Order: sequence, then structure tokens, then C-alpha cells
Amino acid sequence: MDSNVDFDYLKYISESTDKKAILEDLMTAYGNDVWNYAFSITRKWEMADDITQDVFIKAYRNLFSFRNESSVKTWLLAITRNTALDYRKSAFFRKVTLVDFIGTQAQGTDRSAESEAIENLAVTELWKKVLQLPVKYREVLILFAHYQLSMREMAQVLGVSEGTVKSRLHHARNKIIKMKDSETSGSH
Amino acid sequence: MELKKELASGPFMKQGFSDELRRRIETQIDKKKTIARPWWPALSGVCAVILIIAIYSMFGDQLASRESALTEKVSQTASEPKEALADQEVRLSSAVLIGFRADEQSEGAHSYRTVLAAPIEGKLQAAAEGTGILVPYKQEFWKIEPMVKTTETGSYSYLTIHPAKQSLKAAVFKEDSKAKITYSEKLLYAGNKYVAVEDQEAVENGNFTIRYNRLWVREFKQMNGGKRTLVSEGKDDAQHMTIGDVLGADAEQWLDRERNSGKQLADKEGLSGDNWSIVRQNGKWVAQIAEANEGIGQDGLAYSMRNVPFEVPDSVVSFDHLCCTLEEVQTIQPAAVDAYSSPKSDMIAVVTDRQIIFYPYSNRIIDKPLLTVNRADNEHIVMMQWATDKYIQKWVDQAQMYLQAPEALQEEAEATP
Repeated sequence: MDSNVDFDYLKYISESTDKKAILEDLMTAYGNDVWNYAFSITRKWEMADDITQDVFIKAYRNLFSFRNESSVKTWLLAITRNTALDYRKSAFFRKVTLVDFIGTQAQGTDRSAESEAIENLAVTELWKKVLQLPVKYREVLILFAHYQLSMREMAQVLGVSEGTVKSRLHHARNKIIKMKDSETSGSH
Repeated sequence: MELKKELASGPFMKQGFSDELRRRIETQIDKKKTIARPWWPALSGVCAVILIIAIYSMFGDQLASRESALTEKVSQTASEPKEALADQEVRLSSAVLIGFRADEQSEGAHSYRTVLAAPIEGKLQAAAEGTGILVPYKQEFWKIEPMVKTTETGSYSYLTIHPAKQSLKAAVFKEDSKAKITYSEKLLYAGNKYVAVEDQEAVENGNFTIRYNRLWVREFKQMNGGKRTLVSEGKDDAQHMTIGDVLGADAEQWLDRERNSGKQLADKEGLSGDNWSIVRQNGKWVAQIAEANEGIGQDGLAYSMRNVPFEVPDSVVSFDHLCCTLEEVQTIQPAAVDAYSSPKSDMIAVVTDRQIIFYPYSNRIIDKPLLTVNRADNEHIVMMQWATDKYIQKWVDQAQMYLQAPEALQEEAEATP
């Protein structure tokens, strides 16, 4: 589905439009994109599920306010990012509390669960590396290379300037190159 | 390094967005969470504060305000405490199509009209008015109109629904040589893609007449030129939506429990999920189920109504949130019996026995009426459909095209040779 063309009608919806039908179409077109992006930020499978649910419910409720100033994909990815960051904030606070009482064991457990998912399920070695990057480099690389957004669209999703996007992309690429080089040379 | 090529496909072999997750989202959407305020003035301030905190904690300052549709939506829907605008500063950005049904003196006779109230050059006006119910449906307008068909053995007064730009499509009625049948349909509600109708069938057979009343909720396509199944034909009607079809599996389960509870008026078959309706009650559209009473088989088919304890979903009523309690409305208009808020919270339509009065709204009802639409004693509201912002002009243009005043229709008929 060429999503941008198919969703041109979103400009013309009214309060009496069948929003449920539109939601179905959006989920068909972008369900995987939203989920993948949510996972790439959180690296937790079930959290990505929860975030994806929240994103489509928010999109459903705010269909009338879609201004068509960006593409539908950019709009949904922006919602995904902000929802994911909210989840990370609340998850972080829970993790800090756990660490106070239990120590580093909880962190270790969480990290291995994430790594296991990535190790077992990631489709390529490059994806494994990308998902190991720090989040601010990870997401800019994914938005650029996987979602193939323009610099302007990436700036909209991330809420930063295009200059910052370019800088992060540059650093992200360098990190991937270093990871590849480390692998080749056998050093850790 | 060809990043785009290597990262083009998703990160995982297994798809994260599963069918199960999709169904979970659909279930959540169907559970419409009401934010309508109850008729309890004491809770209104508390609810507004909680909503403000929830919305700000969700969105914060993450989104760039220029690109963020969500921030725009938040500023429109959150009950943020802000200075009330001066009356002349309330910018009107809503229009509404109001559908009326008039019940005539003779039994089974009903007529319909639609009024479009819209801001034109900043002033709220009755921008269009005409016969029939003009209802927005997908990308165009459809019309609900009564038709009458008379045969040797029957008289049928029924509703048709068709795209406004196309002609009517007649319904089909089977002739019964043994009995004289009088059949009529009455529109109770129209919204999105659904109608709620009541039909009445009187079968005169020799020395006695049996009367049947039934309630249905139908999709537009089930009304449009479809065959009506009369009670007297002895067949089940297939052209309707059950309570489970529209309100979901939870409502079906509730109905099962009610059937088996022993509390029903008649036997188990008297409480079916087929006969139900959408009615206006306490400032909201609610679902009511028809329970056949003990008169079955004796005087005909009649029913009692009871509320269904499930929210009517967005697919039936797009917008149904009232800004204020009835008491608050009545401080401005003591004769108020109902009210409807616009989705943009810029106006409120207050309903009295004889009028619909539009007031501007800006965190409170401003007692400077914008427009008054009169309604007759025998008229009932069956539709309130809102449009906002850039959709208003399209509605004005199309309503003026498709709605004709009765006087205009009369003149047209007289002018036609």
C-alpha cells in the first residue's frame, strides 16, 4: 500500500466519518512501523505492545486534528516517540526503586531479557548492532535508514533542529563503523 | 555502507504488530470511555483539574507545537483554567445539522426536516433548511425521506435512504391477499451510518385487527431499497443490527444473564438482542432494549424499554459530550430540557419544548443567544451532527444544494405542467 496516497482522504474527514474504518486502515498500513519504532526505543517486547496500543488509540481520538502538515507516517511516528519516552520515564523510576532494594541484579536481569530478544529475533547482524546503540543514535539511524524520512521529517518526529539530526546521524554512523571494526579485529 | 538497503526490512523475523495486538486495540476502542460529566455540579471542578493534570503529564513539552496536532487537540479539549473570553471574542468554528421528526395527527404519519446552523461571516445563521433528514455519510450526504406505497390490500408508509445526489429507491412489499395491512415506519435516531426506527404493523383480518410494534437499529445499507419483512409474513427480519453487533460481546453476555435471571417480564424469547433503540436521556444518547411484554400473541406485540448498561460507541454517536449539568444550563435558560455541546466547545445548543437556542461557550455559557431555531409541539430531535472548521463551508454548500424548503417544493410542483 502506498500509504501517503491512500490516506489523502484524511484531509476531508468530519465528525461523522467512520473513524473505526480509518483506524483499521492505519493499523494495516503502519502497525508494524509503529511497533518497530516503539521497540527500537524501549527494546522491550511487551512495552512495545502497550505503546503501540496507546499510539493507535491516541490517533483514533485525534483524527480530526490531523493537519496534513506532515505525512501520516511522520505523525504516527511522532506520537510513538513521545508515548515511548513517557513509558521509559515511568519505567526508569520503577527500575531505580528496584535497584535501591535489590541491587544490580534487577538491571542485569532486564538487560539480558532485552539482549535475548534482540539476539534471537533480530533479522540481521546490522540490526543487532543498531539496536545496541544508545537511544538517541539508534532512533535517528532507524528513522533515516528504515523509515527513510527526510531530514525535515526526522526533525519533526524528534523535536530537534535539522542540524541536530545531521549531527546525531553522523555520530550514529561512526559508532556502527566502530562496532563493525571491533568485530573484525576481535577486540572488545 | 548502504544503511538504507540493509535496514530496509524490519528488525525482527517475527512481526511485532500481531493480529492479537490488533484485536486488543480494537477492543479498547470499542470500550468507549466517557468523559461526559454527570448531572452532579459538585464533581465538575474536580474532574476538570484531573483532566488538565492527565493531559499535561502525557504531552509535556516533548512535541514541537507547530507540528503537533496533538498539542492543538489538547488545547481545544482540555478544560484548562483560562480567562473567559469576552463575548465578542468567541470565535465560532462549529456547524450542526439538526434533524426533526414531526408526528402528524393521523396515526403512523410522520414528516421530517433538517436545519443547518452554521457561522457565516462570523455570525451563526440557519444556513439551510428543507424536508427530509440530510445526513453526512462518508465523503458525501445522504437523505432519509418518507415514502408511501398503496396497494389493493395495504398501505405502507416507510423510510428510504439514498445518496442525496441520486433518486429514491423504493422498498419492496409483498402483497397479502388475505389481510389488509397498514404499515408505517418512524425514525428515532440518525447518526454516522446507523438509524434507529420503530415500525408499526396493523393486520386487519376479518373481524379482528392485530397490531405489532418493533424497534430496530439498522445500517444505512440495510434500509436502502431493502425488502421489509413484515410480522404477518411469519419470517424473521434479517435487515438489522443486533445489540451485540453494535455494543459488543460484553453487551451480549449481559443480555444472556438478564434472560436467565428470571427478572424478565415475559419468557426468555421476550428479551432478544434484535429489538433495541437509541434514545436521548439525561443529556446523552443511550441504548435501550425492548422487552416484549405479556401481551404477545393476544393483542399483538408490544414492549417495555429498559436501559442497556453499556456506552453507545463512537461508531453510532461521534460526539456526545455535554459541557455542563442541566442545572447549569437552566441558570441561563430555565426552560431547558436538553442540551448539546459543540466538539470545539465554542457553543451550546439548548433545547426547550418549543425552541433550540444557541449560546456561545467559553468555559461557561454566555447568555447572549446567537440563534434560535423554532420547533413545533409535535417535533422531536432525531439527529445532531457537527462539523468544524474547514468542513463547515462544504456542509453549507451541500446543504443549500440538497435541502429544499417546503414552500420551494410547492412552488416547483405548481410550476411543473
